[in-house]
Amino acid sequence: MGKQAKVLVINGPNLNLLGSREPEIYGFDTLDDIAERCYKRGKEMDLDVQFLQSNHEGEIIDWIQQAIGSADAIVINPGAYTHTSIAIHDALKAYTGKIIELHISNPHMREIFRHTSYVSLTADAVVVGLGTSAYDSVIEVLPALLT
Amino acid sequence: MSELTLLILNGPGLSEQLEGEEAPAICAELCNELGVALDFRAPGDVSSVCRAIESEAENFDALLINPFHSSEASLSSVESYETSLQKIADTNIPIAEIHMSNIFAGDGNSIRPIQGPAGRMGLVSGMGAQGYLLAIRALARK
Repeated sequence: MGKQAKVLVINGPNLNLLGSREPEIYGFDTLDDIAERCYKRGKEMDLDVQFLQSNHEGEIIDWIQQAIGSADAIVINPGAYTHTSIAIHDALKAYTGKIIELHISNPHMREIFRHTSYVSLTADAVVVGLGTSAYDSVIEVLPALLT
Repeated sequence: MSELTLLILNGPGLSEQLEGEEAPAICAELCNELGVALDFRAPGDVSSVCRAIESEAENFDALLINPFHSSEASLSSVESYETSLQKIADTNIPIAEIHMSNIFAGDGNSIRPIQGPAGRMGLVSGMGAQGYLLAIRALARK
């Protein structure tokens, strides 16, 4: 029996405000609600899921670096760092596993400053605008993407 | 509780890809499992998809569009789809755009994501045929 695949779900700045911040865009789920569902889906799919959130760019970079050689996949919602952080882009370029970029809203439908994503240049796949249920759905299809 | 009804429309190029060949079957299998009533169509050209968007999407609970395979990508196709989606703007159904390949790879392609109704337009790119399954799962949860 092979060991479980390891998945890091990394959330960026302000995602800790989910549920209270602009629910008309982001919905009413809190980040804890999402984390709980990710762990549940992980169990269902036999994946070792670790769910993290930080408002600090450097901490996110540290997590990505630590994932090199240890996590099979990173699911990352970089929040607004998506549109600004070449440093996160560079860390993701150094990571050799599967990278899935996820956004709850669709940045391409919002302000022009959200239309560029440095992270998309590094990602194997991008999922946007499907709401918070995208987290569940990404974990559900992950085993098929990792084979 | 009635079943969720889903319309999947595919533009040019789907059947030319090996992964595209399996898409109808795996979508049907997942929809069966989730209790989603699926109508999967691959007319294979932009105008047929546009016509289906304008005249039939309103009869469904959700819409998935694979606008074109990357070899057939064009900005004018994107604009045609946007015009059609604009015509059904008040139907209130969630819509997802699927690209099996990675359209954000930065290889200089001229297209951009389809601009659909605000708050109801999703996109999946770069997951191959699994992108359909992810979108179906996410839409079935809404």
